Amino acid sequence: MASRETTVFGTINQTIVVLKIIKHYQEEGQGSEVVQGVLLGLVVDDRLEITNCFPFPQHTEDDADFDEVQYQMEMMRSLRHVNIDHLHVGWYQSTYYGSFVSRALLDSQFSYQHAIEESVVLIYDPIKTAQGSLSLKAYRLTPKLMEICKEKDFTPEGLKKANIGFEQMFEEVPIVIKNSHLINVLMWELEDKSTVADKHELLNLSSSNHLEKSLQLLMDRVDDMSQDIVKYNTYSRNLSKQQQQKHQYLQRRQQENAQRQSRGEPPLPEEDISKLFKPPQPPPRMDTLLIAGQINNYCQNVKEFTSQNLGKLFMAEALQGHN
Amino acid sequence: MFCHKNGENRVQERARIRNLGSITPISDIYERRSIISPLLFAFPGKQRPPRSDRSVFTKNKKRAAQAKDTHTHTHPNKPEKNSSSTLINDKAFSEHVSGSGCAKWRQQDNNPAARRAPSSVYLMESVRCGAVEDAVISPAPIKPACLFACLPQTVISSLPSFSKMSVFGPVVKIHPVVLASICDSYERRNEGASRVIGTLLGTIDKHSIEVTNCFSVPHNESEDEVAVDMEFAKNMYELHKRVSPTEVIIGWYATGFDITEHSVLIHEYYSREASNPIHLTVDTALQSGKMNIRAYVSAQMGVPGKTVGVMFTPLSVKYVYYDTERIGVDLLQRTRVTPSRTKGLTSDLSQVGGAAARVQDMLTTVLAYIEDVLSGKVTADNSVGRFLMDLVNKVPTISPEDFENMLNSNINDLLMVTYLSNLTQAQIALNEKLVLL
Repeated sequence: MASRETTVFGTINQTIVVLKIIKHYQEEGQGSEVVQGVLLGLVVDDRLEITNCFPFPQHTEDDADFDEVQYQMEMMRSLRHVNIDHLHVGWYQSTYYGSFVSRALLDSQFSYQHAIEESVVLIYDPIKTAQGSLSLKAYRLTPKLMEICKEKDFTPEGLKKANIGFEQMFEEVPIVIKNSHLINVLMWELEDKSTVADKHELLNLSSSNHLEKSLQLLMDRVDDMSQDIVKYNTYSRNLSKQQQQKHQYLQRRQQENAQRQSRGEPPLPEEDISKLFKPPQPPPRMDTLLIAGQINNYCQNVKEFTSQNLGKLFMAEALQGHN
Repeated sequence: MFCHKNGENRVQERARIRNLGSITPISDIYERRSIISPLLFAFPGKQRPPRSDRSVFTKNKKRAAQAKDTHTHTHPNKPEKNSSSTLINDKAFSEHVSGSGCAKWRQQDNNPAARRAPSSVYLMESVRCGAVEDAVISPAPIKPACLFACLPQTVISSLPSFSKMSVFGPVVKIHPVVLASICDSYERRNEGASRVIGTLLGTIDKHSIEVTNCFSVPHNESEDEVAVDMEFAKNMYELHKRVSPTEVIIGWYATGFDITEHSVLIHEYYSREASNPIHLTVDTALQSGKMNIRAYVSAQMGVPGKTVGVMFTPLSVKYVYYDTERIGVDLLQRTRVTPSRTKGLTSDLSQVGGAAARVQDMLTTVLAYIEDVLSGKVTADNSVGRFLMDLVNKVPTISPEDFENMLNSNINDLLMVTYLSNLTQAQIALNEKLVLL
């Protein structure tokens, strides 16, 4: 593409990255706290290769900021000694039922993408994974959104100018997992020697729990959205009322001026209207956009989940039919 | 295991290195094992079952050798069978068959009774040996047994499958992330380094040691000396501690097939950091055709008062997974089969389709077995029959109307939720368009 912007067409993960992320969440992320970490790798042609990662400690201490930067620097320096790629290419985060579209994520990703053109954020969904299929997605901000964030112009006019919708906030980058030959050998070994646990989580029929939680979150978000809409409506109503008032004032002015002229007096000076009627503050639209994006995400997840479950139910029916 | 080297000059060389005494050839060790064993185990609990293992021992060797042959033949033929073919893997079939007797072994580590399980397993094996020996040549019929042992929710644990050694003692449980890390750091080693070493982190339980993390440590190795960057190791450990404060240093790892004399020195250093450190070797050079992963612990040996030596005794190694790890590893294992070693992440209904296909594969194997038994080709096995009964009974018998009702209400729920989510999406799209007007 253009010389400055290299679009990333795909990311390649190594096994070790996936395993480390899973492990990190498992050990440290119980509850609804998110766990975060840094991705390391390099950019090859139009692909981003992620070859290693390390986790961030939780923000429990007071001097968290200072620790973070120093921790990161030390970690990268140490990794360089053992020949691990020490180039930052992104970061990862775990999510709870798919609720990751937030201001914080946007800000972090923006600062990453600003510094490093091709960085991505990997979202790992442990609950979906526990249900049977590894759920790992990579996102980047679209160039449009990048521009908006740069200008920090979140008014409706600004957004209208950029013509950005909630579907154009993030773009998903397809993930491919690639292994070296040695890791392949390791996989064969593991298969030989490991126990066979229940790998049939995917075919589990019980769905109501998960569905309930997802719908609960969706409802919360929709509530937020409706509040936002109400705010916007009041704003636009205020705006139109103000317009009317301005109009009336102007008319009265004109009338008065006409009267004065007829009486031969000098017309009153045109006062600055904008000082009289201060326009109401337009509410920032960024939150709305985020909420819309989040709702979209929830809906997608729910739909995926229901389609899987429908399939399973039909299978169960087939089994039963034979009895 | 002794640092076993041939040649006189090696002997002299090693005499230079302190703390090493006489060298005993490995074969002697096996003979003397029963004598040495009570002395060696500084760990509480387990005594090895005295005699039965010796006879099984040779049978293990023979079976392992045979299985190894079949292993190399059959694997290229079934690349499409995914990780579920762990069950149908002829190499490990003997272990699975005997393992089906002990349930949930890996989760009962604190239960001393569970650790008797290996002995009972071996007895079972010796009893079955007669029947199984014949079937060794054609391992196919035994496969379905493993299948059914899996389906009714029991976790089959494979026996510690060192081809030549069966040892008991504290179990070392390794997570796959550790092994992947080790392989990765081996691939990234400096020019000229023949092996990589690093620290193992994990947790120690009363009777088992769980290795959950590791990092590599730069070191230089030459004929005479070993230099390990200990400063680095300490630093890394501190950093890691900040993320997961529960992990402690429990040992170290090295790639390579055997234990060298340098290992002894390094091991000594690590014993200052942790009490009774574990030494893990991963054979990344695939010297024996497989990637041998072994764990050792050091013990004193020799004549007290005179020259004392250090001996590395092997421990049994098991792989444990968290649930999510298991699923992740499943996906990763599917990269084995594509020639480009890549795999995209699928989603949605296709995954259910994939899982269903796997179950279907398993069912066809079962059917093949049943056909064989019915036509008399294979003698029927009672335990397999019991598992078959279990399988068939797993489909619950519900009256058709009740089932219809349940099915319909579930489907209605799902359809309603789908409709609602579609509606919501349309709503927010509309809202957006309105704002932009």
